[in-house]
Amino acid sequence: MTDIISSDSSLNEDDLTALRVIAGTIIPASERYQIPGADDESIFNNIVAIAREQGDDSLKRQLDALQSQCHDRHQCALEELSLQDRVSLLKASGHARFRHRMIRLTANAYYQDGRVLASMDLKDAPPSPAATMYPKVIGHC
Amino acid sequence: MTEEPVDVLIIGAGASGAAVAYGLAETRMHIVCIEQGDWMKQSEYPTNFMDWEARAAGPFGHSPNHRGRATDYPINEDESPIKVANFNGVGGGTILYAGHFPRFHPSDFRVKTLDGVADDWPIDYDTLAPFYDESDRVTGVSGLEGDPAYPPKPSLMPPLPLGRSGTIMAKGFNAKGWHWWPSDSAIATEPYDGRDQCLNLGACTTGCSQGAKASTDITFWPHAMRAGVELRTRCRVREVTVNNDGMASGAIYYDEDGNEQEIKASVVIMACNGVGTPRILLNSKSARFPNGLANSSGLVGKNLMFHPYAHIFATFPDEVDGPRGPHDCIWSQEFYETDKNRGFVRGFTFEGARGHAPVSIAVNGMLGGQIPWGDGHHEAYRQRANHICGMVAICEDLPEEHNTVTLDPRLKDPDGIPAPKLTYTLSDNSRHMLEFSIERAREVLEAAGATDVQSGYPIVGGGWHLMGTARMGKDPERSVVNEWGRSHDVKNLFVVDGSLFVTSAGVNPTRTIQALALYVADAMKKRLANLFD
Ligand SMILES: Cc1cc2nc3c(=O)[nH]c(=O)nc-3n(C[C@H](O)[C@H](O)[C@H](O)COP(=O)(O)OP(=O)(O)OC[C@H]3O[C@@H](n4cnc5c(N)ncnc54)[C@H](O)[C@@H]3O)c2cc1C
Ligand code: SF4
Repeated sequence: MTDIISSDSSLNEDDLTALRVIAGTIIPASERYQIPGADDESIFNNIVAIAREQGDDSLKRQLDALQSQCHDRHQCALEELSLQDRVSLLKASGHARFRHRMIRLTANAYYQDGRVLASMDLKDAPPSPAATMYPKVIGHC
Repeated sequence: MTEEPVDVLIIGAGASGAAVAYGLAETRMHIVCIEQGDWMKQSEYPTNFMDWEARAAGPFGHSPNHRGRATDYPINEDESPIKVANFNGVGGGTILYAGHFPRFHPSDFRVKTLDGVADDWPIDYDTLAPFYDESDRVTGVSGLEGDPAYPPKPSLMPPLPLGRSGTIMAKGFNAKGWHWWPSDSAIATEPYDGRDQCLNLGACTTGCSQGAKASTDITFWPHAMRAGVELRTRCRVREVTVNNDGMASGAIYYDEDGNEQEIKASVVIMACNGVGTPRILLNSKSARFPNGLANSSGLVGKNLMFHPYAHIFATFPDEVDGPRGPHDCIWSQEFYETDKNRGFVRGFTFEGARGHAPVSIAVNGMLGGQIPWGDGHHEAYRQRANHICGMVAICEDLPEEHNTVTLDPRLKDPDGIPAPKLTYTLSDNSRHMLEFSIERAREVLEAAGATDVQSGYPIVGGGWHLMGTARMGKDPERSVVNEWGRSHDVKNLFVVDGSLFVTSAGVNPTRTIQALALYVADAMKKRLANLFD
């Protein structure tokens, strides 16, 4: 975590805490499938890395807007809200762009995690160079 | 700096630039192609990396406006419901294309005669057939011979596997009694011309790290270069220059460092695609050509055609291929030709799609509301992962003069060249066709056992096919170039890319673009002694 904070000038510690809570809200851990949530440390590191690669400061502005709305409505920080309240705050109008962005960021980091893929018998490796073999199509060989 | 004039200058090294270079190479003329982008490296394509879906949405994304590579130029598409997808580099759009490789039908060249709409082409299927064959040989096309929707055509390699998804959808088409056939594809199913065969990595539209997909950087270009054609990258053309006789004299471009350069040429060939070519022609204004070059008809940049797409996907109880395997598997041309009872003219092709990759399933499902956040996320995801497949309908887009590429008065690329601006509306004919296609696809998918059919149109980011903006024809008042690609106004200026198209047909264009480029090269070779008469 310190690593991320020191190398990312635009997101401060409060932002990162909020971001992590949101990631875990979108995709929580599952006992049934024995998989982490998107707030897992290494998945979250990837979320931040992808956000940083996108490289504009709109994420920070969107996060600030959400946090101040949380304070106005609930007089507390995002991480102190119940799951339901967090979801309804995120789904409130005015945050559509942020919501879409968080869905993309979270999904991109989460569904490339080896533990998550392996839990679905999906390949825990990049597509290349391992082949998928198919039987040849009828009519040929 | 001005160098010695070259014989032929090709601008753009994509599908058509590569094919025309290959076609002209045997003349041993001094041929130079200049291209704004770079050579691509297979080792850098996203599929080599764990975060391939994130990379595919970033530096290998389909939109030049979002991808933002130094080699891209911006496009103002605010006034178009369909946004451009392209790639700027050696190979052009074929770097990212899916490799769907249908030919036009004979009827596509005669829509005015058959249906009383748009215009007939000045050439027919039979004229193009030998060039289709030649392009197929260089490309390496896989498919199954005997498709009743087409005149006989050779197949060079066995078709791609139907896989689980193709087999399920084929059952649906069979249940309806409708045409389907394994798709023709520009993907090698066997080692071909030094390239390896497809391994079903399933990420063709992010660049094929296996080299199985026929992007022209690994098909036409190596042959053309071995035959002596010179290809220079990172050269962005601002305008085609003209001399006192009103002939094209070369081009002004910016090199990698942004320095202005001039290249002189006896013949100039435009191969910048249906947006890039009209952009440069319109920007090539002079006292003699105040409305842009080759534009006495006023049609440069007009009649822009995409293919409006509908997407229809569904969840199946049985497992499907998901991301495993190329997008291409089967197609149906049951609704290709006009039947006026349907409420629209012309038609479309259904192209089967095997499924989605893990991140796309999550993003589409969460944005579409089928996969919840929080509780229930994992169960819903698992019901969909590798259980969704479907098809797209690629609809014929008829030419309309109000659909245009113009120069944006404000937006410019990094070298200060005016950016193109698109103005495009979806016609009523297209809407009716798209809606009809969705209903028929739903019937097929349900007949195949689908639940939860999801559909929509148009695919907003689906401006993959850019056509019509410097159309060919015999009448100089109704067309920009003649029936063999030469400008009516400037007798040493040629166009070979998708701009040439008179109509769009209801199939992907690249096989026809390459065949046309070879056909134009052949026409030039046959007339070398009197090319400018
Ligand atoms: C994601 C995607 C999927 C696709 N799928 C399919 C498919 O399955 N089947 C199919 O048939 N087609 C498909 N296409 C479309 C296909 O890629 C195009 O039809 C084809 O590449 C067009 O060929 P072209 O020669 O007209 O232009 P392009 O291939 O676009 O080449 C134009 C070249 O000109 C260069 N250029 C432009 N302006 C300048 C300038 N001012 N100076 C120097 N160079 C310049 C560009 O950098 C580019 O390299 C797809 C495209 C994309 C992006
Ligand atoms: S599926 Fe085949 S053609 Fe497509 S990227 Fe993979 S190896 Fe290449």
